[in-house]
Amino acid sequence: VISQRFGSRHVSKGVTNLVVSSGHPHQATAPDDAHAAVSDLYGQHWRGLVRLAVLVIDDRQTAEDIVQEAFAQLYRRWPLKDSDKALAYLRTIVLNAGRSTLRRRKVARLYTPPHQPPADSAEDTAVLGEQRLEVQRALQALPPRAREVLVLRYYLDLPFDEIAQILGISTSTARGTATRALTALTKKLKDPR
Amino acid sequence: MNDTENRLRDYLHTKAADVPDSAHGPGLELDSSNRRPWAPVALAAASIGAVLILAITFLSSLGGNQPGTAGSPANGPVSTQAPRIPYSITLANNPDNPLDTWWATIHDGKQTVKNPGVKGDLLARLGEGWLVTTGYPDPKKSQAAIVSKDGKVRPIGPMGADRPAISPDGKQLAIPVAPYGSAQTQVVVVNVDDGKEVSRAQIPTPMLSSFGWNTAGIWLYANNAARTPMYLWQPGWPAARKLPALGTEIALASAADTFGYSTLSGKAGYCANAATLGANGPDVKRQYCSDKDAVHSISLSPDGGTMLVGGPWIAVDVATGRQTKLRLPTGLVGTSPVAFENATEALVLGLVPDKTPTKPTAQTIYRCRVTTGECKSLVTEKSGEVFGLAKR
Repeated sequence: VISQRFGSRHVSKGVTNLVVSSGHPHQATAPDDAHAAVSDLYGQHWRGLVRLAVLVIDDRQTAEDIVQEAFAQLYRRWPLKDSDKALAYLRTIVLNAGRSTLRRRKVARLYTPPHQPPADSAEDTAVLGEQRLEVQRALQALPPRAREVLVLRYYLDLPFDEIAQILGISTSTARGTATRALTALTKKLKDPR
Repeated sequence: MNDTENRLRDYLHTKAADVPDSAHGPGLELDSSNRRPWAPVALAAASIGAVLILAITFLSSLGGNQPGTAGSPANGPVSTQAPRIPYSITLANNPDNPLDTWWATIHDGKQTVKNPGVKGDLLARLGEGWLVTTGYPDPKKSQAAIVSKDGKVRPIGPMGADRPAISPDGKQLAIPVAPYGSAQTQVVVVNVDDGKEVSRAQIPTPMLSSFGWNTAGIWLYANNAARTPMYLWQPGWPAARKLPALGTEIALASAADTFGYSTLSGKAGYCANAATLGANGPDVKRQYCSDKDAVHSISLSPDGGTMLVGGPWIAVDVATGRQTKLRLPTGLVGTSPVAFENATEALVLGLVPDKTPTKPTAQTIYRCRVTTGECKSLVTEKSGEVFGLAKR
């Protein structure tokens, strides 16, 4: 049912898009308001975003740095045109930064002498157990995009349209990537070599 | 849910618990001097907005636009013949190399073309065949190409290419080239027929991609969450025009200068806008707003005469404001941009999600007539298939 009040409107020539976002409830402009809004989001989502980053890059300290920078970026951009999407925006920044970190690590590896990959730490083994370590290794062997889709899908339980929005890809691509990544994961778990 | 999914979920939640519930951040030290100067813009916008909302209310009461009911079919009932826009099928269960799996076949009317070894996506029917991207996984080797009916592959344009935009007449491609680390983007325009470069622009922003190319020009955006800055450029212009922020999704009428974009405002709710570009920004021709249904996508017919709003699935006649509700399955989620076959019929690719979020459901291609709302199911994925709908 279409609300008649919010039906189609004809807008006269010469009107710019300044108008259409003017009623946005979060276009508060005072720094104090922005600080309060971003601080509120920080309190609500810091932990969840660090967890997301940890699952993608597997390094708590870097994850915290990335999340801290994400909130700084959000503050610089505040108010967003659509403040309901602030969490999606933060997740996008975190995943983009995670991808950059992984890329830098890969480049760094290219310029360092070959070495044996570090063995799983005793702490990891104790906490995760061998079965979970297999999943961790299989997940780490996937390309970053595939890993991100799986984390968003199976950790955050996000629908594909939201995953697509966060990653800036089409819903079809998100869905296809998840299917292919899961198949790859299954294969790696069956044949870990 | 299979064993892999169970193990993955278990691992992710266990690993995430490394960051305990008691963990908290170090706090924010935010420097307000680095914030965008929004205040003057927002205040001006609020003032103009207040005036406009009054004007809109007045105009709306004069217009008396009503949601349309199913009118008389323009050309009889909607046909169930094969889609007139090509689509691809990817076989998602290739056990040999699942991450390196690309479209297996293109389906275009009665024609089926097997993938001759292209690693990329189907974009459109073009020239003597179908426009695809190729070159995965090396970004330096990514390129546009035409796959012909007999499976031959003809690369077009530079390597290191982002997705090409097709000119309104279908004779040229605009190809953004932005190597990783470069501070600028080259936009190279080549002929489809002979691949010859005919124009080039250098834009001082890295990593630009294109929304498409309509008669207004080639629409480009920066690959970041806000998709800003945006630019418009036409071959022959000395420089690209920087555009105001228009949100993250722009829909183009392929053969007109109309474009669509979405906005969210506190009073109007979710809005889809059909506009042309004026000297100072968008000149909005028609706006559809809903306080109930989010606008998931916007598509425009090639002539810009109809704006189709995904989510509520409403077709809006841009000239008259007449609205027509498409009769699609309840809860249908669009999974690809709507592709107009002509001015009145559009293909919708989508699915109705299962109640269990992780249970896959098949995508179906529907043909809908935007003047009557009638929709018919054309083809549904079989197990292991993934459909991809081309743009044209």
